[in-house]
Amino acid sequence: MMSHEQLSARKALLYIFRAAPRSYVFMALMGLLNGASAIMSVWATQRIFSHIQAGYGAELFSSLAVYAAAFILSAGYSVWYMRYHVQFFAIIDFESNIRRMLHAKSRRISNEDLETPNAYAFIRQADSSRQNLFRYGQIYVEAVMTLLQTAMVTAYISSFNIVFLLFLPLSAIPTLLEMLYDARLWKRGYETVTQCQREETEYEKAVIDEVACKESRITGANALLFKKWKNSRMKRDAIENSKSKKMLILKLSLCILECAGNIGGFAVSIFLFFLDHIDLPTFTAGVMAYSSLTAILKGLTGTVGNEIQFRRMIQPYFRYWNLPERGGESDQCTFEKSVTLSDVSFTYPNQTGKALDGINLTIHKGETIAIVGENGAGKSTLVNVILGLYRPSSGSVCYDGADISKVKEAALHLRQSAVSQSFCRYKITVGDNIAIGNFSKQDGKEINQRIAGIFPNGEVGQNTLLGKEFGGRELSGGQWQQLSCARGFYKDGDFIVLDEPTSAIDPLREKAIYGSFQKELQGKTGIIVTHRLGAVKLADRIIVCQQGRIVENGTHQELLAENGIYASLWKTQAAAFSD
Amino acid sequence: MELRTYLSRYISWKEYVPYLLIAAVTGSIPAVTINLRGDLIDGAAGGGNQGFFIGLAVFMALSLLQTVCGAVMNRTLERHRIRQSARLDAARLEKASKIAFPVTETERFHSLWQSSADAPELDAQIFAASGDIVNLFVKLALSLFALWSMDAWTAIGIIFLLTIGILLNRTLARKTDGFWVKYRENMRRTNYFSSLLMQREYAAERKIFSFDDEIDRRYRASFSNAKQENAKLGRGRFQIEAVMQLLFAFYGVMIVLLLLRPLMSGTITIGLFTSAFYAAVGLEQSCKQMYAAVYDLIGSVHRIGGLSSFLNLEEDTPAKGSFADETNEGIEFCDVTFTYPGMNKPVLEHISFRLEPGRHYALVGENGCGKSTLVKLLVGLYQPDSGEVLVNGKPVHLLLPADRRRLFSVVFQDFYQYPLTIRENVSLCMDVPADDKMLDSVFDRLDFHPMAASREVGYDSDLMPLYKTSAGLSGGEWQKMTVARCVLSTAPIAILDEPNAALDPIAEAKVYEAYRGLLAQRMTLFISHRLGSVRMADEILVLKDGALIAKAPHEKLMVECDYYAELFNTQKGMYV
Repeated sequence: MMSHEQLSARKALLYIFRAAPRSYVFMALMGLLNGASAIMSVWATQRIFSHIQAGYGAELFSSLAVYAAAFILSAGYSVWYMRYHVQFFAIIDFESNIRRMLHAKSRRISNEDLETPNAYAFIRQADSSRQNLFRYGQIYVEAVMTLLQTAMVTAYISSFNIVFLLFLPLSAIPTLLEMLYDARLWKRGYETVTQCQREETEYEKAVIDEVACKESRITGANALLFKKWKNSRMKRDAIENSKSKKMLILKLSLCILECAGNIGGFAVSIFLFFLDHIDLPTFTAGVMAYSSLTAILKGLTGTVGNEIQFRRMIQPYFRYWNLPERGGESDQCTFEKSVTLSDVSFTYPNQTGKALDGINLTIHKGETIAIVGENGAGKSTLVNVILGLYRPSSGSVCYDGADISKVKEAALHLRQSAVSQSFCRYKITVGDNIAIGNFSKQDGKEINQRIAGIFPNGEVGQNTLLGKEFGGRELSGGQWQQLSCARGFYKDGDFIVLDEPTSAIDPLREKAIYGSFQKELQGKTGIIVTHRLGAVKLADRIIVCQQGRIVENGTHQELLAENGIYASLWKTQAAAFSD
Repeated sequence: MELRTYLSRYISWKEYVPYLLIAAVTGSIPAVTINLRGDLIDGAAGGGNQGFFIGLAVFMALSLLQTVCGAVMNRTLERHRIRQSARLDAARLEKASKIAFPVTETERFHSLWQSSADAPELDAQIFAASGDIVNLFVKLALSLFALWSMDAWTAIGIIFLLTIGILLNRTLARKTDGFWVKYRENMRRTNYFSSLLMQREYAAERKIFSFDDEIDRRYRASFSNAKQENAKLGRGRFQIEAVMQLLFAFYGVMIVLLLLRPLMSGTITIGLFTSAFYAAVGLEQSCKQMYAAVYDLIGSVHRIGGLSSFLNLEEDTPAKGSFADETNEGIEFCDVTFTYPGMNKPVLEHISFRLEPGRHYALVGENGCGKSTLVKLLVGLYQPDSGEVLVNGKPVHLLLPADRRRLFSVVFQDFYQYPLTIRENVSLCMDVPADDKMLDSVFDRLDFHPMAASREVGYDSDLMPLYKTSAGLSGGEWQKMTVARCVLSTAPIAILDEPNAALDPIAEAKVYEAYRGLLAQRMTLFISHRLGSVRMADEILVLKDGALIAKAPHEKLMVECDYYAELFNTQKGMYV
């Protein structure tokens, strides 16, 4: 499967650099300055010592000034650039952009493709891997700059004496070996460790979620969740611990090599000095250059290790990025006459059974249609296909005879509105909870009227913040649902779908709401999915679904006369209220 | 938090002391080599003798020792990090699972949960920083001593710079304290907007209502807010660091000038001068590292305070009287009044009634009339402002959490989809998980046939949403599962709060029939909108605007309670 392949470094980098080109160019410039400072300080050291040997003339002060300038330059790099600019501006801007790219991506994915467990995991992983993207780009810029720096300093000290070059690789070898070994161990445990981490997050969520908190305090689920969390954690820690032990062993066995690398420069310099191949100023500059070179090389090998690690860490982002998109060519979509479904079938991605099977249906403009049927009969799926949120697996959906598969989603939904069964509870103000249905409308008066309709006692206003998580107030399920109805009607489209719009609303209010539906639906095309068969009567036509098929289609009277499924549903409900 | 409090509470001395000791040994080595290195340089300059090679060998041996110590320190730190982070995370999660229910409904709970999340990372920082501080302290002290013996002024100059640096750093730590918390708070909002634009639960409405642009605008506004707060933190830090860097540059020049004096007067040789010069350059690095370590330590200790605030949140139920047995002698509400925190009007006022064991009750009323609150009071999740809720004659809020599930089983209107297997999900209220036969029979009676269970793993198939193989259940299926959980529980009191909201009428009829059979022996309390479903109850409690207005069987209510009759007839119109 495409989405499981690793994205090549080149593609990832192109993507990352495109997200913040200026930032990375600036990074390269700063890297150059930093490199220059290393050479400056070696040069100044050599000068200082030759002045001292020659008797302390006025030139000593000019060399000292260069020395100080080199210092300030490198401090500027680390303090101003790395610790201030990058951390507080560059990374933050980058994160903001990269998240917006994710948002835009979500917009382009068709809803049925979001329904799979894979997509669920991908979104979460993509979002949490975004910080690593910046670092990944940074690694490459740094690597290039470091190589440049190494070349400059190496050239400079080999001009003192070529023997210096011999010991240089020595300091890089242990770090390189450690890094490769570390990457290998990391790779081996990676899948298990991240899988465990994700499971732990799910368990944690189940402990602290608002809904779970209530339930768990009676069922005692927390004990079990905690136990499972602990098992997963222990598994993960065992892997990490064994990795850390192995690293210790490796490090101890590389000790001598590392040590030779660390003091090799000093040893070589002093030996050359001892043999009178170099003089004191060159000796001091050599030692200095050597130690800064060792540090640079260690940094470089560390960078390579980081590259391997970060490349894996950014993969989830691109896995999400590679999910298929919906596309669409046309910006035109009209609904003047009818919606027609011809032989439509629908299967959820990664599932086998058909949720919809050979649906043929025509809805005329201005009609109100009710859809009834048992749970799992495919009612909500059908509605999603009619709205164009789900693309049929086979067959076609046409608005005014034009297949909507070629229409861009934004154009398609322009005149639609919906109250979904799984309506959203937005943790923003009450007013915005309605306005979110159509932000461009900006009709404060209408919003106020609708709020007053839901909260007659006036204790909730347009600016009341919702969601305890943000210090707002909480509403009952019924109140939330009424808000979602208000939202649906606030967007005055000509085609509105009401999927179980009153499932949490009490009977007195429900009756009033259905009364208002009739008014709101006037002149519009409407689909109501409901179990309230009494409410179904207001529809022009009733459709009965069973196992993904339309089995009955007609008016209330016609269907009762048919004495089929609708009639039996009706009888069951009537029995509950009979005297 | 105080450092001392932290150390005594969270640090194991068996790990801490050896770590600090190795750190001290590692720190002493560079100081010891100053004079040795000076002699080596002089030896090399002077043409050398036997001592030169011995010195070189000793020098290398010391360097080897330092490398070994470094590796061991690294491993000790890693081991501590792994163990301690598991310990802290576990403490945090265990605490979260025990926090009193009303507290879990507050913003404080969620924000402390988030701000305590980086406790393990902070702990590792504290551990590493204290090692660094010991290491650097020894290094600085011994090096200063060596320099002092060459030239007192050089040492004094360094001490002066060090002191200024430490003072500056303390200001820095203090200045930047509150910003981090603010940044987090701001980001919480930003993250929420981001989830609206990205998460799948908002996908349908996002597309139908195309609210992307406006929410994106808010996302950016909120992000830039957070960024500005964050930039303040950065600026404060930068200003101080810039001053320090200038000091260091000055110091670099001064050290050469200071050392020139003893060199001129012949107190030190050129070798010692060179070695001291290196040492001084090294000291400058050490000073920087020392500041960073002190800064890390202070900042981390301060920020880890989030964890202790979280661990100090109020816990569920004081461990007083226990009701270990599963008997039920009835529930009594005695003049109960309850107000939500921050609200001025009570949700429930002067509620009194008694429920007898083994009988079936229903609770009806409109949205927001206090039905769900009454349930929470009944099971002891809330404590009344006044009056008492008694179970078996004892106040229910004194019930031990573990005993709650022996007495009550509740099906809530909104239920959590636990990331557990089907079997575990259903067996939550049981001491021993149910076997396949029990599950088969209960599921049959509820007409619940999850597709997932037909696979090889059967009822052990996991409902964790992350797995590719995870068995997705529909909302209705989840609800049936929570009903099955209630049925399998042996608790004598069953409460069903709107258990049928997601069920269709036929399923509802089946489920109700099943309830009646399965729960016949227990006291039941049904809360429902669908009056047709609850009329079979022995008695119906009618709640209106926070007051209990009637408690009688259906037939009697139809005659005596106008409000109930209106509710019933209205609904009849909706269904029939």
